[in-house]
Amino acid sequence: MKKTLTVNISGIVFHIDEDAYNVLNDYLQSIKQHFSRTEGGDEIVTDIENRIAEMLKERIGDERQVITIDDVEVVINAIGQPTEFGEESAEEPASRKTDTNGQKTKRLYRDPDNAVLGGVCGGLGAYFHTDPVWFRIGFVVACIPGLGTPLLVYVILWAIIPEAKTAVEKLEMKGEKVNISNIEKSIREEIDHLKNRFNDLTSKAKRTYKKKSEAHRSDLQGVGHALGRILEVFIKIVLVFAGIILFIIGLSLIVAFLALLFGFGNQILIVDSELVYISFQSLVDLILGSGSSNMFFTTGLFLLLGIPVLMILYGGVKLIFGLDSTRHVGSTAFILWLAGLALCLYYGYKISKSFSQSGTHQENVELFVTDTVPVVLDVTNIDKFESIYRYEDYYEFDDMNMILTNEESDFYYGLPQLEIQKSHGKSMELEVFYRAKGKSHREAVTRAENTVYRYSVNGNLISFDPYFKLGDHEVWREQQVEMVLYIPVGTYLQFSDDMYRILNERYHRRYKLSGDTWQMTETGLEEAEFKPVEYEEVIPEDTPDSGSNDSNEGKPVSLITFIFSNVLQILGFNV
Amino acid sequence: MRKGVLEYCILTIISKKEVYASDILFQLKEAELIVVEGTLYPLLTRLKNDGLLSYRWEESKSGPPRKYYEITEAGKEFLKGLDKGWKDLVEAVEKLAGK
Repeated sequence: MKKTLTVNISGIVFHIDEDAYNVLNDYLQSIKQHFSRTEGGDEIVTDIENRIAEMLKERIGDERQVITIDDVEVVINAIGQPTEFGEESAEEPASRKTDTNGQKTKRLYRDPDNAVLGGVCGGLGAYFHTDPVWFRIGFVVACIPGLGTPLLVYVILWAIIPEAKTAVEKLEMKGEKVNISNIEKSIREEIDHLKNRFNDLTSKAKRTYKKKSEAHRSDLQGVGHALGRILEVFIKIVLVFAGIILFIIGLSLIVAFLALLFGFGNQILIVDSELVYISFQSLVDLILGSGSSNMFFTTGLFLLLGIPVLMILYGGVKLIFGLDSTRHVGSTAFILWLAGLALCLYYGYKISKSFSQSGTHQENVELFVTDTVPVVLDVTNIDKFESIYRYEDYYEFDDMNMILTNEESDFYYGLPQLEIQKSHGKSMELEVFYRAKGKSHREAVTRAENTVYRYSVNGNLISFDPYFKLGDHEVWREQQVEMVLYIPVGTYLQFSDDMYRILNERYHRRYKLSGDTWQMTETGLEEAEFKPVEYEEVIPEDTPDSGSNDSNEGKPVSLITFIFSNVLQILGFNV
Repeated sequence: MRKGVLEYCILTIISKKEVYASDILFQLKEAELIVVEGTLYPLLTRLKNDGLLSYRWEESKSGPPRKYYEITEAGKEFLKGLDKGWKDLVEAVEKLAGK
C-alpha cells in the first residue's frame, strides 16, 4: 500500500505516489532556484512545468491512474538537470552525474577562460586562489636560466591536466561548492559569454570562420595542424617575452621618470667631475617661478615624457596577458601627448622670449679709505656658503657665473665678477653693473635692480660678498653682477687669499693676485715690494649674514687627517 | 558554439511553420542536436524576449494548454543574417577541408 497525493500541474490534476511526489517536488524546486535570477525565469519554469504535465499525461494514458517514481524519473531524465541546461556541448551528458550535491571538491584543471598558452597557470591560480600572473612570471623567470626545462614541465602539465569544460568542472577548479546557486552563477557568466558568440554568428564570414575553426580545433587532426599549433605557441612565447621586456623597460622608465618629477628626494643628477643632486622642480621654479605657468609646464612635460612611458608599459602588459586592444587607448594617449607637446612648445617659446632683451642697472659709489695703509680687499666669510664652496659641493656654470648646489631651498648662487682698473683721479670708486634679461628692456632693468648684492667698506678693508641672490620671487634670467674698482695710481692693494673667487678672469690672473700685495701704477697693477703688517679683519656690522672669521681657517690640516679623508673618499664615502 | 547553432536551428524550425515546444523538441532530438529538453525553454524565452518570436496559447485535448510559437518580422530579418553567417562559415570550413 502506498500513500498517494493529488497535485495540480499546469491545470491538470494528477494522482502521484508520495515518493514520486518528493522527487518531482525537489526537481521543480531546483529548477525554480536555477532560474530564480534569470530574466523571464518564471516563464521558463512554467514552460517546463507544462512540458512535465504533458509528458506525464502521455505516460499514464487513460488506463493508469497513479504516477509512480519511474514516470517521474523518465520525465526528469528527458528534461535534464538544471546543471545541464546551460551547457555548451550536449554531447556528453551521461558522463556527468549529480554526484556532487553540495560537496566541496577542488580539483586541478586547466582554465580555458584564463589562458595564455594552455591555461595551466590559470588553473594553478584558480586552484590556489592566487593571481595566475605569479605562476606565469615564475615560469618565465625559471625559463631564463633553466633553458627550457620549465617549458617541458609546462608541456607535460598541459598534457596531463584536464581542461575545465563544464560549469561543474570550472567550479571544482575554483574549489567552490558545487550547488545549484553556484552553478547558476557560473552558467550566467557563460550565458553572457554565449550571447556574444551568438552575435558573432551574424558578423562577417572571416571573423566567424576564425572563431569556429578555433572551436573545431580539437576535432581536426593532421601534421599541418600540429605544426601550426606549435608555431602559434612559439609566437605566443616570443610575444610574452617581448611583453615582459617591454614591461621591465616601461617600469624602470616610469620609476626614473617619477623620480625626476616628484619622487625620491625630488632630485636630478648632474654628473660632472662632481656629483650634484638638484631637484628638478627647483630648477623649474628657478626659471618659471612658482605660478600657474610652472604647473602647466610641468603637466606638459609629464604628458610629453610620461605618455610614451605608460604606453610602453601598457604594450608590455598587453603582450604578456594577450589582451585585446582596447579602443581609444591609443588615440587618447596620442591626444594627451600632443597636448603635452603643445604645452612644452608654448612654454619653451615663452621662456626663450623672456631671455630676448637685456637690461642693466648701474650703481656708482665713491669709497673713502685711509690711504696710509694698503687697501685690503677681502671676500666676506659666510658660513653656509663657505661649507658649500670648500667641499666643492656645487656645480658651476662658468659662462653664466652661477653655481647650483645640493641645498633644497637655497640652491642658486650668482657669482660676482670684479675688475680692478686705474682711476683717472685721486678718488677710489666702485662701479657695480647689475645685468639681467627679460622679454622687454624695461622688465630686464627692473629685474636687474632687484638683484641683491652686498659689499662693505670698513676702514681700509673692502669686503665683497662671495655671491649675489636673485630678488624675492624673482626668476632666473641670466642675472650678472659685474664690478669695476677704480684705484688711484700709487695705492697699495692687498688681496686676501679668497679674492680669486670674485676677480674677473677675463682681466686678471686671479690666482696670482690672490694672497699678495700689489700696487697700482700708470701701466696697471704691479707686484709690490711693500710688505704690509698683518691686518686684522674687522667684522662689518652691516652684514648680518656674514659670520665671524673662522679661527681655524688657514690652519694646515694635519697630514694624517688629510690622508685619512682622502682614503675615505677613494672608498666612496662622502666626507 | 553549440548554443548559437541551437538558437539558429530553433529559429529555422519556427520560421517554417507555427509550432509548439514539443514539436521543436522532437525535431531537435531527431537531429541529435540536444540531449536534455530543459535546454530548450530558456532559449525560447530569450528569443521571445528579444522580440524574434511571438506566441499564442492554444487549448489541448490531451494535456495542458500549448504555447504555439511564430517567428516575427524582426526574427525573419535576424534569421536572414544567421543564414548568411552560417553559409559563409560552411563555405569557409569546406574550403579549409579542401572539398
